[in-house]
Amino acid sequence: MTFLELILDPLSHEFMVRALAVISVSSAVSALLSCWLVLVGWSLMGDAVSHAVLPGVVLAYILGLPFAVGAVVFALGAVVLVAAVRSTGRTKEDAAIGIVFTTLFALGLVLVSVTPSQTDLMHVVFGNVLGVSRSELVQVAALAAVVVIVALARRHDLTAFAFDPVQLRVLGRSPGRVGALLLVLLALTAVTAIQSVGVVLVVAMLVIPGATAHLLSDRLARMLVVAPAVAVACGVVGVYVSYYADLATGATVVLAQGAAYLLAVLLAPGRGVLARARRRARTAA
Amino acid sequence: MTSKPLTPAALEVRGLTVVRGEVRALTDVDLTVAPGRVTALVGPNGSGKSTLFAAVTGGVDVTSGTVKVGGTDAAAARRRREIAFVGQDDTVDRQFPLTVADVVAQGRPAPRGLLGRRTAADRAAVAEALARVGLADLARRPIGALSGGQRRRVLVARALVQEAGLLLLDEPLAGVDVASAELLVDIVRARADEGAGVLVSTHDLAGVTDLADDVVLLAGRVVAAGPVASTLTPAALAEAFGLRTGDVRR
Repeated sequence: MTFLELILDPLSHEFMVRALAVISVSSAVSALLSCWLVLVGWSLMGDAVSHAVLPGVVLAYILGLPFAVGAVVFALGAVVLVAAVRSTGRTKEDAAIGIVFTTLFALGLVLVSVTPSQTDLMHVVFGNVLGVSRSELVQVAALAAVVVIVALARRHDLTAFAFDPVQLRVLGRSPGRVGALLLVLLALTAVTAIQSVGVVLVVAMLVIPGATAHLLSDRLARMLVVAPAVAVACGVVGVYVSYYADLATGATVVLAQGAAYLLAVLLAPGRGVLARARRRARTAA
Repeated sequence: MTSKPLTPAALEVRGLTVVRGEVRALTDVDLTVAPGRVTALVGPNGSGKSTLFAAVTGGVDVTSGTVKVGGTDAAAARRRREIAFVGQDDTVDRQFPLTVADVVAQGRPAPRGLLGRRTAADRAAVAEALARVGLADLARRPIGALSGGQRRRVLVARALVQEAGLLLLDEPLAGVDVASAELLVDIVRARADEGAGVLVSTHDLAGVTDLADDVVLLAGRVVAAGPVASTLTPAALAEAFGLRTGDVRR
């Protein structure tokens, strides 16, 4: 089998074409948002929100609503709950996040267990990129388009929110509102990524690409290009590897992203392990 | 970089009281910053200087009293981008992936549209401000690669490109090298000459005469206010700093 055949052969299956499309779209949008998430310091929030949306997604399924509606309601609800738990005074924020998101995740799992058509919904937990239907692909693409357009249109606010919220306020913008916007974008993005890798691995898509791009660039404008490019490459590689090696697709994609991060740690120009070792060797010589 | 002088006053604070939790940070403060003049806000740590800035920049709820900028409510003035603020910079993330020029450009209105770029006027304003603070050569450096004094100058440049009628600086001279401090004093004076009202806090008494036209002595309330020469009396300083009169050297 030639290399070209290796690449083209899987594309004769429609499910593989759809899988590659969903992975590419959801990887790109997650990676774009992850740049701001890692800079704001919201990685844990990404984890929390992606778990907390599960009951919303299940309820939306039961009620026949778009998944995104349930996801946004529960993402915002989770943040309100975290604030409420914190306001009891004794519980710190990290504990409050831990309590709220695991409880909501458990509620989601319970709802899955009592809802007929369980197989469909277990896909939400672990992802089912090879079984994505045409309508799900359209929904992911529409959500991704909304997130990308809004995030790019408001990128200066998002960046100022991450860099210096005081300055944002002095210029007459509301840091609270920009934070809420980022949260809604996070919830919508989580829905797209859930289709790809499932609830439990979504946080990887929302953190690793941004962190990788931050290692490779000192300019946010460049990170916003590098992160999606790396994430889409990892997504495509992950889907092909999982196809030939018969592995879980979502998990393979995340492993590819982890490998990309490791490569960046080792090889990043200037500050990577290799570059630093070479500098040390040169100064020693 | 001229700005239209704000009338009737760049900043007019009347009867301002701020209670934070259990603490009464400011009590019945009256203060006026005239356009074209530099007013120094002098007081020991904990005297309410930062709280006063926060009341103007929207960082704290005003318990009672009014804060007006150019004759309108401070929130409206913020939306008009009429207030420029240089805070203490210890919160700047050293790893943040922005260049010096990127940070200064944040003082300009955000470009419109999905992929909108900075205009030629924005770029010219950024370059001019960087030249004024002596950092033209470092425009493309990552913000994290700068020293403390240089970083302070970047934040001042960001405030300059805003061309605001009211410029607020919270302890701009604390912890910077002598060269940076002299440059900052010159810039502050120049902004006032261009028509802006400037309020600058300091706990360095020795520098006030070079820096400011007017002074407000603060200790949770206004102890004394007026032109520098007639206001910084030993008795007023002693009251603001809680010293006996004999301890104060001029």
